[in-house]
Amino acid sequence: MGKGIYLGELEQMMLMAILQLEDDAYGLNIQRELMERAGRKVTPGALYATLDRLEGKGAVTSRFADPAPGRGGKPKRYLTVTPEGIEALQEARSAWRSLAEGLEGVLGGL
Amino acid sequence: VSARLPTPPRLAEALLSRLLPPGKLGSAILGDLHESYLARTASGPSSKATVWYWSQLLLLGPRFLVLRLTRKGLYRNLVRVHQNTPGPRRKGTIMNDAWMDVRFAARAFFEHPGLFIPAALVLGVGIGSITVIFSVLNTSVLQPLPYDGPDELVWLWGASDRGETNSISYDDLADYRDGTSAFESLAGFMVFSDTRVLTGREETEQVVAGRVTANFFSTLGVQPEVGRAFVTQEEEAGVETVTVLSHALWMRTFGGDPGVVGSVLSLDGQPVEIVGVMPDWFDYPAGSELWVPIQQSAFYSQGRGNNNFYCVGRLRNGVSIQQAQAQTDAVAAQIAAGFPDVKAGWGIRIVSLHERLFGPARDVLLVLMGIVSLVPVVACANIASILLARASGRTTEMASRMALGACRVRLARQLLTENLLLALVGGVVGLGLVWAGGVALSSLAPGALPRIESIRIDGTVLVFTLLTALLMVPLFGVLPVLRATDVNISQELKVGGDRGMSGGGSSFRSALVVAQVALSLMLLTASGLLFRSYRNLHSQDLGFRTQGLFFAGVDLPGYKYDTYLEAQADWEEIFRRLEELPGMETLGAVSRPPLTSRGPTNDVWAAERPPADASSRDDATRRFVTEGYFDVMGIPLISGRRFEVGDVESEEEDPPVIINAALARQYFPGEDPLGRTLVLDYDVNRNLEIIGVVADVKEGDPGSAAAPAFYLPNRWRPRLSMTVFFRTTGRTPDLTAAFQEAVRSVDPGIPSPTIRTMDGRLGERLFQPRFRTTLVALFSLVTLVLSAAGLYGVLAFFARSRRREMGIRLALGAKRTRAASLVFRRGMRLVAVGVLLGLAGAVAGARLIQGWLFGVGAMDPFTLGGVTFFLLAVGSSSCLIPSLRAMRVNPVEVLKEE
Repeated sequence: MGKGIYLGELEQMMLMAILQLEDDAYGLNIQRELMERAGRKVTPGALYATLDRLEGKGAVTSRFADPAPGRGGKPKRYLTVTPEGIEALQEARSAWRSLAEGLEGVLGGL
Repeated sequence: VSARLPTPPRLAEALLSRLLPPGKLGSAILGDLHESYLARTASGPSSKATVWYWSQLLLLGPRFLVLRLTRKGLYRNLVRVHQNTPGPRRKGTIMNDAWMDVRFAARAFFEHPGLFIPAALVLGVGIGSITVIFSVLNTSVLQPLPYDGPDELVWLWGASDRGETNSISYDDLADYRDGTSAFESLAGFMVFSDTRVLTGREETEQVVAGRVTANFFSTLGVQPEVGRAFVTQEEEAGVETVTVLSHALWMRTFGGDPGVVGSVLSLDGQPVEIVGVMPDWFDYPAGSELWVPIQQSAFYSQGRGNNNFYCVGRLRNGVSIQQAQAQTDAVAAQIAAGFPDVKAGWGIRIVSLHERLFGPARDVLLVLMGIVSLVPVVACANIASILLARASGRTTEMASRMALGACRVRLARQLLTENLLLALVGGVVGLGLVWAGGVALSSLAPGALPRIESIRIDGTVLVFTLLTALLMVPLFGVLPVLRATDVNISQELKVGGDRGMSGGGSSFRSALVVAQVALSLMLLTASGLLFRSYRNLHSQDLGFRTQGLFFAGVDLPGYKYDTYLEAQADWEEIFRRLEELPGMETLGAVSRPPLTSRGPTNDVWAAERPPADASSRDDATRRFVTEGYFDVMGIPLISGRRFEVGDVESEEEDPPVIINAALARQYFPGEDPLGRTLVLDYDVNRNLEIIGVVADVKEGDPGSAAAPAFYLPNRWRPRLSMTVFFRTTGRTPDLTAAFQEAVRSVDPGIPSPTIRTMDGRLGERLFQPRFRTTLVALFSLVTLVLSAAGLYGVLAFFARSRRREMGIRLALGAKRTRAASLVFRRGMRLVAVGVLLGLAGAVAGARLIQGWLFGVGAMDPFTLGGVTFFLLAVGSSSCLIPSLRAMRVNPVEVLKEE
């Protein structure tokens, strides 16, 4: 896997959710996206801990939007996946693929 | 915009915001939760959304708390990264900053234990000392009386135009009861509790009987725990047939048997039925072991002049003391008009019972508090001085932070938070001291003050401690904070830290040292004056020699005797047997020993100068003595002679009298009283021939001036209760067993006497002055140590900051002694200014303790001089070390450092 960033399963899912959300990726939306697309229920504790960890690893960066209405005047923390993050995702996917090769019989067609 | 939108539960949000990371990072999470909450209120009941929001607190809170406490590197990095992102100020910021201040302050604490631990200890001593006095005040004085409706209870003093107070007569009591409507009830009890002999149980026992009116218990609102109180008829019956036991006596003699009601005791040989038992906390009049109803028909309750009763009343609902006073004034006027010979000029002064019982102790404690309040002030000055030094050392830090954009207010706030935290830690230390002090006081000084044994730390004391701690923050914190934040940024950064030490800060510190010295001197003066007073009290001429003097109270079973002659026969037998004891040297007896109380008293006058009316009558202390009394006591005979056996033949004739010097001075000024006639208002007016004058004896309080007193021969009207004094030959053998045996061999109905020394008695009497002297001395030593340390600190600092100057001077050929004397002189100048200010303060403040002084003036030059000298000595030794250090400065090293 090289010298890049190692990503856990939830981290991969979250990165993809952020990418899916494009420029509307903030905490609550990411949680919803995970629930709707992957049926994965994430507690807020896990959500923010994972986001912090991702940012600590350099896989995402955050940017704070101006305080928005409907949020008690609190800002949104928008997340963007960094090139390193994308690279890590790619690496994870190719590892996954090479491991899955020849397992079509068991896992079904890809 | 969002006016109609529901908002998440405030408390949960506030709690969350404390726990979440500071700044936008946490704020964004709050925003998410807010949004989600709104979504939930839109789709379901708001209560459900609220529950959900709270559950998020539980889910998120602990995680971030752990992160925060462990301060994981990753987390800290993130926080830091986002903290620096500039943004608009938000509402939560102040609290977030405060939280940060607290954490910074705590960190400062842990990083500089050498600075903060002493500071917290000093603060603790300051807070603790004042609080310990307050907790005594709180326990012994501020608590309400333990009776029902305590605010309605009042005390009625007999009061004269001349400002004297006295007890009143039973007839007066009855008149006030019948002639007023202000009182729900008015009760009385006899001034002197009576000693009765309890027989019929295993041991013949002496018990103290409180003699009270039948309504005494109901007036106080206290119910017996077993049985009943007295009923009115029992007061009128004329024969004492019932009694109420104290809890202690009940436990001791009846083992707490509840069936005791109805059984019969033998009291002074009379059968007395037990009707009730009081609860264990009830002890009034203090020391009563049982209570008997007074009898209207008895001698002591007859006659207007027989002021044998103290009067306690319960005001009717809604009646004020002033209203009651107006009513009693009217009755008093009638009484005075009806009995001008004894009551002219006398009336009633009503005070609350609480005031009567606790007023004196409260006054003592308030004065003590006033004195001790100097300790926290000195502590503040001391800490301010420490913090100023630190502030000077910190100017570089502050300058850097300001240069990085921190505003001055923000820095000041952080420093204040440090001080606040320091004060709170000091408060905790202080509470520890209060606890320890409470334990020490209640075990070392039982009985020094009311209820002192139950001294405790309750809510009131906690609040007091907290307030004291908070009050101290500005006292010790403001100067250092101003100093620390008042920095010239570019100057400080250019010059570097160690130069920031001189200048304004050090002159502030000098002023603080002066203040400490001055306050210490005031406290030392107070303790010096009190100590001198105590010494005076202890070594004063009591009129007799306490050394080697023993005494024991002996009570005859009075019910046995029908005539005075019979009692006299027993007394003579007792004295004869005692005198025969091996080792017995001299022996004498008196109806009431010295150092007890001034009373009982009687009105007396010189036969040729009869008083016009009651208001011009004066009373004098009355004592019955045996022939050997003056001898055994060592009371000097000034003129005339002592009593002799044949002086009085019958109880009906008028006996001779011996007077003391004070009576001679007052009643026979400039005359020879020997052979003159003194009229005594006793059962009838008695004409007594004065046969001798003796020196004054302190009959009551050793601190009060000797009052006029006269002595009658015991043979005339033998007392049933006498105090026997004796001295022994050679070394003092233990006569206790032989003494008791001799006394009881005359009559087994005599309770076993306890032998004590008069020195011990004097010690007890001087307990109060010793107690407050010790207390004040202790606190003044504390302040002395603090100010000596403060002085040392400032000088050491001064010497250090002048090191370079010293080095250069020395290098240029200055003498080393000159360097030392520079430092020393500077220190002593501070001490001298402090001493001068302190002397002025001591003189001004001495009025506070004027009432406690004995044989020494408030401006006693000896005390003031001694204290000044002492402080100069302590001050100069504090200055010595820094001065010597300045002398040893090595100029080569100093110049190299440049």
